[in-house]
Amino acid sequence: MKIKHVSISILALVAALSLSGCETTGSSPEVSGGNVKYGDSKAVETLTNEFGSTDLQTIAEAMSRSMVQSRVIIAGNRPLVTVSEVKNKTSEYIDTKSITDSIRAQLLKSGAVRFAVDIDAMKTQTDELMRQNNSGLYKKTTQKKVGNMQGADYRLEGNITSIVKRAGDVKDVYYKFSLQLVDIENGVIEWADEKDIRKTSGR
Amino acid sequence: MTPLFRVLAAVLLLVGIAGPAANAAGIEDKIEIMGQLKDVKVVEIQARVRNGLLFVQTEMENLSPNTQQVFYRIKWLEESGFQAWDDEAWKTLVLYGHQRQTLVSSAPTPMAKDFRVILHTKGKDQQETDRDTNTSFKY
Repeated sequence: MKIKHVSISILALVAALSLSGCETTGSSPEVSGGNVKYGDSKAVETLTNEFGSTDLQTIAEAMSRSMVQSRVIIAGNRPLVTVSEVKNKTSEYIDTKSITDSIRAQLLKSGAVRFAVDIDAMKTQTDELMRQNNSGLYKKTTQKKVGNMQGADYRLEGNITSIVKRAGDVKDVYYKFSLQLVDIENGVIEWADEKDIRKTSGR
Repeated sequence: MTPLFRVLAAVLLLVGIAGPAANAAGIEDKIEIMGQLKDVKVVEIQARVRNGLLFVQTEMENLSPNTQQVFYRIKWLEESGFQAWDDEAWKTLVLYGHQRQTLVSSAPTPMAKDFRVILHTKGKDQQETDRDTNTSFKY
Protein backbone atom coordinates (compact mmCIF):
# COMPACT_ATOMS: atom_id res chain seq x y z
CA MET A 1 0.00 0.00 0.00
CA LYS A 2 2.80 2.37 1.00
CA ILE A 3 4.90 1.43 -2.08
CA LYS A 4 1.91 2.14 -4.33
CA HIS A 5 1.50 5.57 -2.71
CA VAL A 6 5.19 6.42 -3.27
CA SER A 7 5.00 5.28 -6.90
CA ILE A 8 2.03 7.56 -7.54
CA SER A 9 3.95 10.49 -5.98
CA ILE A 10 6.99 9.88 -8.21
CA LEU A 11 4.78 9.63 -11.29
CA ALA A 12 3.10 12.92 -10.34
CA LEU A 13 6.50 14.63 -9.89
CA VAL A 14 7.76 13.38 -13.28
CA ALA A 15 4.56 14.56 -14.94
CA ALA A 16 4.84 17.98 -13.29
CA LEU A 17 8.44 18.40 -14.45
CA SER A 18 7.52 17.34 -17.98
CA LEU A 19 4.63 19.77 -18.13
CA SER A 20 6.69 22.70 -16.82
CA GLY A 21 9.38 22.10 -19.43
CA CYS A 22 12.19 21.78 -16.87
CA GLU A 23 15.26 19.85 -17.85
CA THR A 24 17.74 18.05 -15.70
CA THR A 25 20.99 16.76 -17.01
CA GLY A 26 22.99 13.96 -15.58
CA SER A 27 26.24 15.93 -15.82
CA SER A 28 25.36 19.06 -13.86
CA PRO A 29 23.31 19.88 -10.77
CA GLU A 30 21.08 22.32 -12.65
CA VAL A 31 17.41 22.43 -13.49
CA SER A 32 17.07 24.87 -16.33
CA GLY A 33 14.16 26.07 -18.38
CA GLY A 34 16.21 28.06 -20.86
CA ASN A 35 16.95 31.75 -20.50
CA VAL A 36 17.65 32.06 -16.79
CA LYS A 37 21.23 32.22 -15.55
CA TYR A 38 23.05 33.45 -12.48
CA GLY A 39 25.36 36.44 -12.86
CA ASP A 40 28.00 38.29 -10.87
CA SER A 41 26.11 40.18 -8.15
CA LYS A 42 29.05 42.61 -7.88
CA ALA A 43 29.25 43.38 -11.60
CA VAL A 44 29.02 46.98 -12.84
CA GLU A 45 25.42 47.36 -13.96
CA THR A 46 24.76 49.89 -16.72
CA LEU A 47 21.47 48.65 -18.11
CA THR A 48 19.71 51.96 -17.50
CA ASN A 49 20.43 55.35 -16.00
CA GLU A 50 18.33 54.73 -12.90
CA PHE A 51 19.76 54.05 -9.46
CA GLY A 52 21.04 50.48 -9.50
CA SER A 53 22.83 47.75 -7.62
CA THR A 54 26.30 49.11 -8.42
CA ASP A 55 25.32 52.53 -7.01
CA LEU A 56 23.99 50.94 -3.82
CA GLN A 57 27.09 48.81 -3.35
CA THR A 58 29.50 51.64 -4.15
CA ILE A 59 27.79 54.06 -1.75
CA ALA A 60 27.61 51.53 1.08
CA GLU A 61 31.26 50.62 0.64
CA ALA A 62 32.48 54.22 0.44
CA MET A 63 30.44 55.40 3.43
CA SER A 64 31.28 52.50 5.74
CA ARG A 65 35.01 52.69 4.89
CA SER A 66 35.01 56.43 5.50
CA MET A 67 33.10 56.22 8.77
CA VAL A 68 35.44 53.68 10.37
CA GLN A 69 38.21 56.24 9.88
CA SER A 70 36.35 58.95 11.80
CA ARG A 71 37.82 60.21 15.04
CA VAL A 72 34.97 58.90 17.22
CA ILE A 73 35.27 55.39 15.79
CA ILE A 74 39.08 55.32 15.90
CA ALA A 75 38.87 56.18 19.61
CA GLY A 76 38.11 52.49 19.90
CA ASN A 77 35.27 52.22 22.40
CA ARG A 78 32.80 50.83 19.83
CA PRO A 79 30.16 53.56 20.14
CA LEU A 80 26.48 52.71 19.98
CA VAL A 81 24.83 54.10 16.86
CA THR A 82 21.25 54.16 15.65
CA VAL A 83 20.17 54.62 12.06
CA SER A 84 17.85 57.52 11.48
CA GLU A 85 16.29 58.48 8.19
CA VAL A 86 18.07 58.88 4.87
CA LYS A 87 15.79 61.13 2.86
CA ASN A 88 15.27 60.42 -0.80
CA LYS A 89 15.24 63.84 -2.50
CA THR A 90 15.57 62.45 -6.01
CA SER A 91 12.75 62.20 -8.52
CA GLU A 92 12.89 58.40 -8.62
CA TYR A 93 12.01 55.69 -6.14
CA ILE A 94 15.08 54.62 -4.17
CA ASP A 95 14.92 52.26 -1.20
CA THR A 96 17.19 54.25 1.13
CA LYS A 97 16.63 51.68 3.89
CA SER A 98 18.41 49.17 1.72
CA ILE A 99 21.42 51.50 1.48
CA THR A 100 21.56 52.10 5.24
CA ASP A 101 21.09 48.37 5.88
CA SER A 102 24.17 47.67 3.75
CA ILE A 103 26.18 50.38 5.50
CA ARG A 104 25.13 49.04 8.88
CA ALA A 105 26.00 45.45 7.92
CA GLN A 106 29.49 46.46 6.78
CA LEU A 107 30.12 48.55 9.89
CA LEU A 108 28.94 45.78 12.20
CA LYS A 109 31.08 43.26 10.37
CA SER A 110 34.11 45.49 10.81
CA GLY A 111 33.52 45.37 14.57
CA ALA A 112 34.12 49.10 14.90
CA VAL A 113 30.64 50.10 16.05
CA ARG A 114 27.54 48.65 17.64
CA PHE A 115 24.01 49.48 16.58
CA ALA A 116 20.92 50.03 18.69
CA VAL A 117 17.57 49.08 17.18
CA ASP A 118 16.23 51.86 15.00
CA ILE A 119 12.72 53.29 15.04
CA ASP A 120 11.46 50.72 12.52
CA ALA A 121 12.58 47.81 14.70
CA MET A 122 11.50 49.35 18.00
CA LYS A 123 7.97 47.93 17.98
CA THR A 124 9.28 44.39 17.47
CA GLN A 125 11.79 44.95 20.28
CA THR A 126 9.23 46.25 22.79
CA ASP A 127 6.65 43.62 21.80
CA GLU A 128 9.19 40.88 22.53
CA LEU A 129 10.06 42.41 25.92
CA MET A 130 6.39 42.76 26.81
CA ARG A 131 5.64 39.20 25.72
CA GLN A 132 8.47 37.80 27.84
CA ASN A 133 7.49 39.83 30.90
CA ASN A 134 3.70 40.03 30.75
CA SER A 135 2.42 36.87 29.08
CA GLY A 136 3.23 34.57 32.01
CA LEU A 137 4.65 32.03 29.56
CA TYR A 138 8.34 32.42 30.38
CA LYS A 139 10.51 31.26 33.28
CA LYS A 140 11.38 34.17 35.56
CA THR A 141 15.08 33.35 35.28
CA THR A 142 15.11 33.64 31.47
CA GLN A 143 12.94 36.75 31.15
CA LYS A 144 14.84 39.73 29.77
CA LYS A 145 14.20 42.67 32.04
CA VAL A 146 12.44 45.83 30.99
CA GLY A 147 14.44 49.01 31.45
CA ASN A 148 17.84 47.76 30.32
CA MET A 149 17.84 48.93 26.71
CA GLN A 150 20.80 51.12 25.86
CA GLY A 151 20.46 54.57 24.41
CA ALA A 152 22.56 55.21 21.31
CA ASP A 153 25.51 57.59 21.47
CA TYR A 154 25.22 58.68 17.83
CA ARG A 155 22.58 58.99 15.12
CA LEU A 156 23.31 58.25 11.47
CA GLU A 157 21.27 60.34 9.04
CA GLY A 158 21.52 61.70 5.55
CA ASN A 159 19.95 62.24 2.18
CA ILE A 160 20.32 61.39 -1.47
CA THR A 161 19.75 64.01 -4.15
CA SER A 162 19.97 63.95 -7.91
CA ILE A 163 20.31 66.34 -10.82
CA VAL A 164 18.92 65.05 -14.10
CA LYS A 165 19.61 66.75 -17.42
CA ARG A 166 18.62 65.85 -20.92
CA ALA A 167 20.00 67.27 -24.15
CA GLY A 168 18.80 65.61 -27.32
CA ASP A 169 19.46 61.93 -26.99
CA VAL A 170 21.85 62.32 -24.07
CA LYS A 171 20.66 61.91 -20.48
CA ASP A 172 22.93 62.80 -17.59
CA VAL A 173 22.14 61.85 -13.99
CA TYR A 174 24.21 63.06 -11.06
CA TYR A 175 23.58 61.48 -7.65
CA LYS A 176 24.93 62.80 -4.38
CA PHE A 177 24.63 60.71 -1.23
CA SER A 178 25.40 62.53 2.04
CA LEU A 179 25.67 60.90 5.42
CA GLN A 180 26.47 62.32 8.84
CA LEU A 181 27.02 61.02 12.35
CA VAL A 182 25.44 63.19 15.04
CA ASP A 183 26.22 63.05 18.77
CA ILE A 184 22.73 62.56 20.23
CA GLU A 185 23.52 64.19 23.58
CA ASN A 186 25.00 67.45 22.35
CA GLY A 187 23.89 67.62 18.71
CA VAL A 188 27.43 67.91 17.36
CA ILE A 189 28.07 66.44 13.90
CA GLU A 190 31.12 64.26 14.48
CA TRP A 191 31.57 62.90 10.97
CA ALA A 192 30.13 63.50 7.52
CA ASP A 193 30.97 62.36 4.04
CA GLU A 194 29.57 62.39 0.52
CA LYS A 195 29.68 60.05 -2.41
CA ASP A 196 28.77 61.29 -5.86
CA ILE A 197 28.02 59.27 -8.96
CA ARG A 198 27.54 60.42 -12.55
CA LYS A 199 25.76 58.28 -15.11
CA THR A 200 25.44 59.40 -18.71
CA SER A 201 23.70 57.58 -21.49
CA GLY A 202 22.91 58.19 -25.12
CA ARG A 203 20.75 56.45 -27.64
CA MET B 1 61.48 39.74 -6.15
CA THR B 2 64.10 38.00 -4.08
CA PRO B 3 63.00 36.10 -0.97
CA LEU B 4 64.91 38.60 1.20
CA PHE B 5 63.18 41.61 -0.38
CA ARG B 6 59.82 39.87 -0.14
CA VAL B 7 60.24 39.30 3.60
CA LEU B 8 61.50 42.85 4.13
CA ALA B 9 58.58 44.33 2.19
CA ALA B 10 56.08 42.24 4.15
CA VAL B 11 57.60 43.30 7.47
CA LEU B 12 57.62 46.96 6.48
CA LEU B 13 54.03 46.69 5.28
CA LEU B 14 52.90 45.14 8.55
CA VAL B 15 54.45 47.83 10.69
CA GLY B 16 53.07 50.54 8.46
CA ILE B 17 56.29 52.01 7.22
CA ALA B 18 56.51 50.43 3.81
CA GLY B 19 58.57 52.39 1.33
CA PRO B 20 57.02 55.00 -0.88
CA ALA B 21 56.36 52.64 -3.73
CA ALA B 22 56.58 49.05 -4.76
CA ASN B 23 59.16 48.40 -7.46
CA ALA B 24 58.18 46.91 -10.81
CA ALA B 25 58.41 43.35 -9.53
CA GLY B 26 56.42 44.35 -6.43
CA ILE B 27 53.66 45.87 -8.56
CA GLU B 28 53.37 42.66 -10.55
CA ASP B 29 52.89 40.74 -7.32
CA LYS B 30 50.10 43.03 -6.21
CA ILE B 31 47.97 43.25 -9.33
CA GLU B 32 45.78 40.71 -11.05
CA ILE B 33 44.78 41.64 -14.57
CA MET B 34 41.69 40.07 -16.06
CA GLY B 35 41.29 40.46 -19.80
CA GLN B 36 43.39 43.02 -21.60
CA LEU B 37 44.95 46.09 -20.06
CA LYS B 38 46.00 47.68 -23.32
CA ASP B 39 47.39 51.22 -23.07
CA VAL B 40 46.73 51.39 -19.31
CA LYS B 41 49.73 51.11 -17.03
CA VAL B 42 49.89 50.69 -13.26
CA VAL B 43 52.62 53.19 -12.47
CA GLU B 44 52.89 52.84 -8.72
CA ILE B 45 51.33 51.06 -5.77
CA GLN B 46 51.86 52.25 -2.22
CA ALA B 47 50.59 50.73 1.01
CA ARG B 48 50.39 52.20 4.48
CA VAL B 49 48.80 51.21 7.78
CA ARG B 50 46.97 54.11 9.35
CA ASN B 51 45.01 53.72 12.60
CA GLY B 52 45.21 49.96 12.22
CA LEU B 53 43.74 49.91 8.71
CA LEU B 54 45.65 49.14 5.54
CA PHE B 55 45.51 51.85 2.88
CA VAL B 56 46.44 51.18 -0.72
CA GLN B 57 47.22 53.88 -3.24
CA THR B 58 47.29 52.83 -6.88
CA GLU B 59 48.43 55.20 -9.60
CA MET B 60 47.37 54.38 -13.14
CA GLU B 61 48.20 56.02 -16.43
CA ASN B 62 46.36 56.00 -19.72
CA LEU B 63 49.06 55.69 -22.37
CA SER B 64 46.69 56.38 -25.25
CA PRO B 65 45.08 59.69 -26.31
CA ASN B 66 41.60 58.10 -26.06
CA THR B 67 39.42 57.93 -22.98
CA GLN B 68 39.52 54.48 -21.43
CA GLN B 69 37.40 52.72 -18.88
CA VAL B 70 38.89 50.35 -16.35
CA PHE B 71 37.03 48.16 -13.87
CA TYR B 72 38.77 47.52 -10.58
CA ARG B 73 38.38 46.20 -7.07
CA ILE B 74 40.67 45.31 -4.21
CA LYS B 75 40.95 41.85 -2.74
CA TRP B 76 41.85 42.13 0.95
CA LEU B 77 43.86 39.30 2.44
CA GLU B 78 44.76 38.20 5.92
CA GLU B 79 48.35 37.56 6.86
CA SER B 80 47.80 33.87 6.18
CA GLY B 81 46.61 34.60 2.63
CA PHE B 82 42.96 33.92 3.41
CA GLN B 83 40.52 36.46 2.05
CA ALA B 84 39.77 38.95 4.84
CA TRP B 85 36.51 40.32 3.42
CA ASP B 86 33.79 39.51 0.89
CA ASP B 87 34.38 40.38 -2.74
CA GLU B 88 34.06 44.11 -3.26
CA ALA B 89 31.76 45.55 -5.89
CA TRP B 90 33.47 46.22 -9.20
CA LYS B 91 34.06 49.92 -9.66
CA THR B 92 34.60 51.96 -12.78
CA LEU B 93 37.51 54.28 -13.40
CA VAL B 94 37.44 56.66 -16.34
CA LEU B 95 40.86 57.66 -17.63
CA TYR B 96 41.01 60.51 -20.11
CA GLY B 97 43.70 60.50 -22.77
CA HIS B 98 47.18 60.41 -21.18
CA GLN B 99 45.69 61.01 -17.74
CA ARG B 100 47.32 59.76 -14.55
CA GLN B 101 44.81 58.89 -11.87
CA THR B 102 45.36 57.90 -8.26
CA LEU B 103 43.00 55.58 -6.42
CA VAL B 104 43.06 55.35 -2.66
CA SER B 105 41.38 52.35 -1.08
CA SER B 106 41.10 51.52 2.60
CA ALA B 107 40.70 48.08 4.08
CA PRO B 108 37.33 47.32 5.64
CA THR B 109 38.86 45.50 8.59
CA PRO B 110 42.10 45.58 10.59
CA MET B 111 42.45 41.88 9.76
CA ALA B 112 43.44 42.83 6.21
CA LYS B 113 47.23 42.77 6.05
CA ASP B 114 47.76 42.26 2.33
CA PHE B 115 45.93 43.05 -0.90
CA ARG B 116 45.62 42.49 -4.62
CA VAL B 117 44.44 45.16 -7.04
CA ILE B 118 42.22 43.40 -9.56
CA LEU B 119 41.88 45.17 -12.88
CA HIS B 120 39.54 44.40 -15.73
CA THR B 121 38.95 46.15 -19.00
CA LYS B 122 36.17 45.77 -21.47
CA GLY B 123 36.67 42.99 -23.99
CA LYS B 124 38.19 44.02 -27.30
CA ASP B 125 34.89 43.46 -29.11
CA GLN B 126 33.04 45.74 -26.70
CA GLN B 127 35.67 48.46 -26.99
CA GLU B 128 35.41 48.35 -30.77
CA THR B 129 31.61 48.49 -30.56
CA ASP B 130 31.82 51.53 -28.27
CA ARG B 131 34.20 53.28 -30.66
CA ASP B 132 32.07 52.47 -33.69
CA THR B 133 28.87 53.70 -32.10
CA ASN B 134 30.55 56.65 -30.39
CA THR B 135 29.07 55.70 -27.02
CA SER B 136 32.30 55.38 -25.09
CA PHE B 137 31.12 58.15 -22.77
CA LYS B 138 28.61 55.75 -21.22
CA TYR B 139 29.65 54.94 -17.69
